[in-house]
Amino acid sequence: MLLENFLNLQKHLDELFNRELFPGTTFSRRSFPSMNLFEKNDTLILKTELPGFEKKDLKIEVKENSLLLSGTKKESETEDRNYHRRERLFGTFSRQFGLPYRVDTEKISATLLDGILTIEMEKAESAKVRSIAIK
Amino acid sequence: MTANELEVKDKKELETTSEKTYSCKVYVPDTDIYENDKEIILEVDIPGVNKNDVKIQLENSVLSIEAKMRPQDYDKLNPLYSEYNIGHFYREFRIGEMVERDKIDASVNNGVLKLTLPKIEKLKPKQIAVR
Repeated sequence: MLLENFLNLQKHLDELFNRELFPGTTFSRRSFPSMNLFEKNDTLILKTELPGFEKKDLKIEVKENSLLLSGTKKESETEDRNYHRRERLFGTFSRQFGLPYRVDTEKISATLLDGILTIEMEKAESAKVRSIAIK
Repeated sequence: MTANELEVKDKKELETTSEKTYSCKVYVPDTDIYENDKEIILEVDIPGVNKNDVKIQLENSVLSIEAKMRPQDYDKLNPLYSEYNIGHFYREFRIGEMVERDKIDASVNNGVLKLTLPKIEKLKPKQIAVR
C-alpha cells in the first residue's frame, strides 16, 4: 500500500470518527472494544484491537444484521509482582452492535492475528443491490 | 480479578519535541512494568504488529521500542465507520544501572511485547543467615 494511500486512510478514519454513520444502529463509541468497520465489494470487514486475548477467550455470534462479541482476558498471577506502572486492562466484555445490512451467516470468517481480531461477513443475497430492468 | 468490566481507553498519540519527518500517526503503547527479585518485566500492547517489525534499542540508559503495523492489511478497504485510528507505536523508558544489559530478552505474543530485564547478580536481595 502506498504511503499516500495509507495517510489518506488515517485521515478518513479521523473524519469518520466525528460522524454518525448508521443512525439507529446500536453502535456506541464508549463500549469496549473500539471497532472499525470497512467494506470491500460485498464484504463487511470488522477490525478490533484485542492485544493479549487468545482465540479461546473470544466468542462471536452473528444473527442477520447484529453481531455479539464477548471475551475475557485473564491476568496472570500477580502475587510476587511489584508494579511500577499498570496501564493495560484485564477483565470481561460483551458488546452487541448492529451491522448496516444483513449478512450471510454461513459466510463469516474470523481471524485473530497479532492482537487484532478481523471478522469478515458477506452481504446476504437479500441485501445485495439489484438493478431492475424496465420493461 | 476477572470480573471487571473492560472499559474503552482512548489511544494516546505520541508527542515529540523534535519535528517528525513523516506524517504517519504514532501512538504510545499501554505498558505494564513490574519487578520481582530477579528481573524487571515490561509488557507492552502493540496490536497489529508482527514481531519482525519491532525494533528495540538500548542507548545509554534509554530503552526505545518502535513497533510498526502493516498498512497493507488495510489495502483496498473502504472505511465505513471508525472508533479508533491506526498507526505505529513508539515509547522510551529509562533503564537503571541494575539491569544486566546483555541479557535482555524480548518476545511477542498475541500483540503483546514482553521484555525481560534481568537484574545484576550482586544487586539481587540475599538472605543472610543468622548464626
